[in-house]
Amino acid sequence: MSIDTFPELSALRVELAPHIRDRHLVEIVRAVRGEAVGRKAPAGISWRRWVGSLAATLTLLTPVAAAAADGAMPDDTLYPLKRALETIVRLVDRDVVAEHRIEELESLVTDDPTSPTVADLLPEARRAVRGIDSPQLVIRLAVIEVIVDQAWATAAPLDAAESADATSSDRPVDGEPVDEKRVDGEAVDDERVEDASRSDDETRTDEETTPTAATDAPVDNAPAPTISDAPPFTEAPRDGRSDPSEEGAEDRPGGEAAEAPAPAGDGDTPAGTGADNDPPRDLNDQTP
Amino acid sequence: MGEPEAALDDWADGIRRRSEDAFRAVYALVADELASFATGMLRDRRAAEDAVQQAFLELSVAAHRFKGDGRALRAWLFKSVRFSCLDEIRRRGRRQETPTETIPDRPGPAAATELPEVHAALDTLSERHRTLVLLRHVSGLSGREIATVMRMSRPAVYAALTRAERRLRAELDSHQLRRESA
Repeated sequence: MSIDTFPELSALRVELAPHIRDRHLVEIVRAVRGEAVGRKAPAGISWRRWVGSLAATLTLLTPVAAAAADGAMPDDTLYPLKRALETIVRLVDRDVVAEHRIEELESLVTDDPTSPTVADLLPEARRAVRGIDSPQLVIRLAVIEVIVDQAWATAAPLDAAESADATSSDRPVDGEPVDEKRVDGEAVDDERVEDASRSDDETRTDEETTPTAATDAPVDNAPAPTISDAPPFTEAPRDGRSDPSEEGAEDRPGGEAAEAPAPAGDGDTPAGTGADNDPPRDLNDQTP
Repeated sequence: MGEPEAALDDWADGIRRRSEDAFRAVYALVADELASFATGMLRDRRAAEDAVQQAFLELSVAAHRFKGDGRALRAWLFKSVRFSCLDEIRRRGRRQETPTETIPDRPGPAAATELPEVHAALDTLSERHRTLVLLRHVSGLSGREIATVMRMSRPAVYAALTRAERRLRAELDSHQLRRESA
């Protein structure tokens, strides 16, 4: 089928707004320059500070420590303690975390809506707010987003990039819990044959089926760490499945490539698809 | 090879050298495609924008390890966005969230009426089939690129895509029939 087979899907095509592009480019250029280590990297915070934070956490039951950390902002020394406390509080009351992020953003946006700290905290705040049922927080977040958008829309992106503070490496640790890291397990399994016999469209004569020199690289079957699709989707209820056997195959761990076999030696996997070329599962996971 | 792929070929070396110009150029070439794909996956424009940015940030970290040409570069970015989307969907699943309906930045005249139906039809597909359809018909990737993104062989891509297209077409037609009869 050609791309125009589904004109309805054109409604899904979007174009990024100019101010969003500018904001992204500033962050990307900053990362390329090495000024930003990454969202999840606790850069600039030494182990001594973490030990100190841990020790402080051990004393978190003292109301003084908890109260002192409660108002900490991302650049403050006590901020890690605040985040540590939140991981405990979150088990009981998730709204607290979202409210903290909103409060921090409101304070930061007042000073500089285009600061890298704001850019880091915004996605986190969105995730936190999405997880709760609080219209007030949603409205407060919406106001913050409008302010940030307007600030970026009026800011000169290159100026912002040039003037980006090198201390952006002191950004706060991303608040994502450890268990939210991506899960390994998507095995390359091009050798499965079960679906091949069911396919009546393998004889598709698309021009793309013609192997070219660029596509004759061998299939890389290295067990590179990848994402497993199975957990989120096997749990999510879906309607309208008419092919249970097929869905069952997809639900199997490692069933990622179970649709049809890879022709032996046809080398139709494009060049540059080796394990080294896989996107990292996590910004902290850059070790070769 | 299409024009965008050829242009990306020119910048692949620059990406490996962590050239700022190369990152800007590649972003300009593929950001909208990535955003469209992520929006279709997440139905949340903000989350989709975050996924696009995250892909480029990851590329900036892993650029020195990147191998391949412009086509491989584009596939790398789509793969990264897909991973981010899967993470976000998994997070939503844990939180029992329902995705926010996306309003395109510049909706076409038919978008307002068709978008819910399109989403409803896409919801009937499995995640894999939905991803294949979005990569092919929204982002315009070739079968070879989709095979790289999905880590499938090309015959497997074509087989699965055909099944997905049939099911989607049937769903869209049934929605249209219901709308016309109403």
